[in-house]
Order: sequence, then C-alpha cells, then structure tokens
Amino acid sequence: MRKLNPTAPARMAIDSSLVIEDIHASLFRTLAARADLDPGSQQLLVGGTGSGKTTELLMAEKWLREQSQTLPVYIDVSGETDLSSLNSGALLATFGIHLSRAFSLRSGDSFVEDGEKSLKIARSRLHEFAFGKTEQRWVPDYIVEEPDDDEEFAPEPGRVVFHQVPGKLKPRLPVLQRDVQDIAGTLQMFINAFKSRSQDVVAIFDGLDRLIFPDKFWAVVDQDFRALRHMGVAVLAAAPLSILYGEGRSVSEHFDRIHQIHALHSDPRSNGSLRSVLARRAGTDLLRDEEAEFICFFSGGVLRDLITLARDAGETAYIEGTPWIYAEHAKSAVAQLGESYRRGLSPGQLGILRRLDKERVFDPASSDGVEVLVTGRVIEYSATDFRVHPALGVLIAGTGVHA
Amino acid sequence: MPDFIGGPAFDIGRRLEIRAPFSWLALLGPTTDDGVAREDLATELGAVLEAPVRVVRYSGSTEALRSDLLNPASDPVIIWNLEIADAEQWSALDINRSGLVREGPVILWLSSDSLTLLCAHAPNVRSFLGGSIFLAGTSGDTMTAAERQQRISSLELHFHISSAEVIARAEAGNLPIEPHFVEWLVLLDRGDLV
Repeated sequence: MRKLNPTAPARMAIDSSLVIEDIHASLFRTLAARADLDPGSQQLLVGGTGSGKTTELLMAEKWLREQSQTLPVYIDVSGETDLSSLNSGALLATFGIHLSRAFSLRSGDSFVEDGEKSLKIARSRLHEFAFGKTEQRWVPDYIVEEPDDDEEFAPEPGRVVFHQVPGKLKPRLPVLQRDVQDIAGTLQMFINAFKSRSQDVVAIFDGLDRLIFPDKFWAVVDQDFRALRHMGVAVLAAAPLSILYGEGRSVSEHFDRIHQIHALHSDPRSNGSLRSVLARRAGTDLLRDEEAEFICFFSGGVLRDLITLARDAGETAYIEGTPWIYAEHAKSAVAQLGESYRRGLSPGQLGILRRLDKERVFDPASSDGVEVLVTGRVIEYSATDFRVHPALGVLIAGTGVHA
Repeated sequence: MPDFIGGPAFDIGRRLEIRAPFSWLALLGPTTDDGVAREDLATELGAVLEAPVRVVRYSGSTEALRSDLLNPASDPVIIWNLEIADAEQWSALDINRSGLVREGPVILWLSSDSLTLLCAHAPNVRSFLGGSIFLAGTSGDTMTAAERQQRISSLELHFHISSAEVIARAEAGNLPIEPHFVEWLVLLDRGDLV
C-alpha cells in the first residue's frame, strides 16, 4: 500500500525504483540528449497536472549527471521562492545560487587570477542579487551649497541611514525590477569555470507550469531565458499547457522544441502501460483483474489519478477488513475523485464538458477551454483527441460509475 | 446529486495511519464552525495516530503557511481559516504547492465554499487531494440538517438500502454491528437501536 503514494516526491519514487523509465517513450532521454548536444538550446515540457513532468525532468537530470561532461542544475522554482510574484531576474537569481553552490575551486584551476577571492566576491554578488542587501548612505542634517573648489571641504553634520536594496527572491524580500544584465557577468564567470573543466551547464526549471496563463509564464521567463541562451546554458523547463493553444502559441515560438506528455491510453485494449504502473507499485497484490481494469479506465490515463484511485480503494478495503479491493471500493474511489473534479465548475465550463461528451466538439483555444484543460477536467490524448476525464464524465452524464 | 462521503475521525485516522508520508486530505467542516468540531477532530486523530496533531491557522500569507508547515515538517497538521482565501490567494497557494510539501500529513479544514474555490482555482492542490475529501463528523450535533441529510443520502447510495430498511433491520436485530451502520442510526436519531 505504501508504494501507492500519489504525493510522494518524484525523486523518492525514482530512487525507490517505482518509476517505469519508458512509460512516455523515454522522453527524458530525448530532452537530455538535445540539451547535451546543443548548449544554449531551450526546450519546454508540457503536460497535464499529474502526468509525470517532474519525473521526466528528474530522470533527464540523472541521465545528464551520468554524462561526465555536463552539469545539470535542477531547480523546483516554486519549492524555493514565491512563484506567484516572480519577475525578470528571479530565475537567474535562483540559478546563480544553485550554480555557485555546485562549484568549488580545485587545485590547478586557472580560469581567473586570484580565483578564491574572485569567487568569494561573485558569490556575494549573487547572494545580494537574490536576497537583497543593506546599503549605507550619508544623509546631511541640512542641505548646504556645494563648496567652492578652492575651499577646503569639511563634512556637514549629519547621520548614517541604512537603505534596504531588495533581492530577487520572494518572499524573503520584495522584488524590484532590475536589469538582468547586472548579474549576467557574474554568472558567466561560474559558467566559464565549468567550461574550463570541459563541462557544459544545463539549467532545469521545474514548477513553471503552475503559471497557467501564457502571459504570466512569458513575463517570468523572457529575459532570464534570453540571458541564459547568451551564456550558452541549455534550458529544460516545465511549461503550462496553455502555451500550445490560441495566444499561447506566440510564446511557444520562442523555444527550440516543445515536448508534450499526453495522457496514456486507459481503455482495456491498450492500457498495458497503466497496468504496469500498478504492478510496479504492488497495486496488483490487492487488485483483481476486473477492478484493475476499472481503475485504469477511470484514471483517464493520468498517472497521479491512477495511483490515487488504487490507493483510495485499497484504503477502503483495508478499513473494511477485506483481503481484496472489490468493485464497491473502486467505485467509491472513482466517485470521490469525480466529485473533486466537478466542484468549482462554472456553468460555461459545464456546458463545454457536456458538448465535448455528447458532440465531441471542443475548442482548446477558448478561455474556458484552456481552463478545463489545465485543470485536468479535459484530457488530451492527441492533438485531435480530447475527452472529459472519465471520473467526471459519469457525473456530468449522470450515468453512474460502471466499468 | 452525489457528494463526498463522510469521514469519521477514526476512519480518517486509520487512512492516515496506513498511508505513506506526504499525504494530503481535506475535510468539510460543519457550516457553523465554532472550532469545537475541529479541536475534537485533532484530539481524536491524535489518539489514533498516537501523535499530537498541530492546528495551524491560515493568515492569508503563503509564506507564513509555508513556514508553519515546515517547522516542523513531520507532525500531522490541520490547517484552518482557509475561508479567508479568495480566488487569488488559492491561486498563489496552488502555484507554490511545492513549497508546502512536507513529510507529515496535511489536513485542510474547509467550508463548502472554500472547497469550491480550491477546486476552481487550485488545480495542483486539488490534484494532490485527489478524492481524499470527506465530510467531517460522525455525530449529528456537528452537522447541519442539510449536511446530515446529505450524509444519509451518501450512505443509502453506498449501501444500496434505504434508511427505513436500516431501521427495520436494526429493530429486527440483524443489522451488522459496523461503524457505518452505527453512524447511520445516530444520524437518523435512532441511536437507541445501536
């Protein structure tokens, strides 16, 4: 049961060998290989909530780390700073902090004279850029005229005040707009240092898909990613699904490649991948064939939902003291999941879902269309195959939960 | 219309007990929340989990909540006062979900309205909760009449028998002695048949 944990950190699942590497056709290798071969390239990874984006990025990091000529720097941005109020410079700040931590001088390093002192200064600058600093200013008690050049200047009576210069990382200190070039030179020093050791740096930014609207995503990444490209740093980043549709397309045009994780097929004829996920996590110890198929189908092919349904049904079975997950347990888990998707739907969104369910008509570029897509109520199986999440679909159609 | 099933404190505790770390769930508290039901829940959960349950008040600040959750990060926590979060604040919590991840269980104590806002504006938090959303309370006095009726309907739907049949079986002495049926009879004001 403990292997069926939909909220465990992805790194933990990877380290515990609970992840099936080729579940998304080894997408992580494609991402990593391009970053490795093309320094300065920028790739985005998009997919629905719970589809496995973080896992793919972490496996790409692992793959790159195994290549001795690459230094991958993985950053879960929302885990470190307040992503909801980021602006230009903040990604560079977090990247700089990680990069400086990853670097330590080795004997024989010759990239700068007086390396230790330069490094100390660079680290200090990065820290100030990220977290802010306190500046000292002299404030005279009263304003005096400029002294004549031929007069000897004597300091006027006054006092020292301290002025806080904010850093880039929220919320420790407030963020102010600042030219990202201020810090690019300092970062370049570290990057050159790694290059002198024949190592290219790859920046992996996770969590940016939480900025679900394209304009917000672009406001955060625009200048920072441009600076990283100039520095020859390859970028892999999670991005919101909304960049694929409507006005979001203009954002995706700025990147070298967009990779999309589609939901896995969940119908009984082609749900082998989902069944293998359950088997890897010992879910099949509790699930008989019929209930396993039922859970695969109602997960809609969303990995986190699959694990959630198996766990919830298993918990109910355990609490009731039954040795297996029975149909009633699985149905109860599906009904609960469907209800959580149903809550909060606006009438307009409900109309879109009904239309998709009955007439197979869906416009992902409309604002309500994007909303139901990024919130997982609609699942994309291919560019032309959108469907209502099956756990929600039965509630909307009023047909009840049946296999 | 179907709704979430009830989650007596004992069942919630057992779920948390058998779950691996990093688990999240939400409880829909009674409409008139004077804090008694929440405190009772914390006490009951503490007894089941054999660990003190910390009750954390959401102040409107994501950073303050993050600090509360991570210091310490291993104990069970009930977060309340989420009614003050508007759509924008739910969105901020959602965007920063990774910063709220902790090893100990996280229980969101919500009103019906705040759950609706969460589901509408916090898809990443909703994804973490999955179907782990339960109606709090096992006894009639912590639920409104509407919540009580909703719970009774859920039980009828779940067990495919009517409340009248449950009473008839209890009067005949052949109702299984099982927590859900006990709860059902209490909700029907027929605790005398237990």
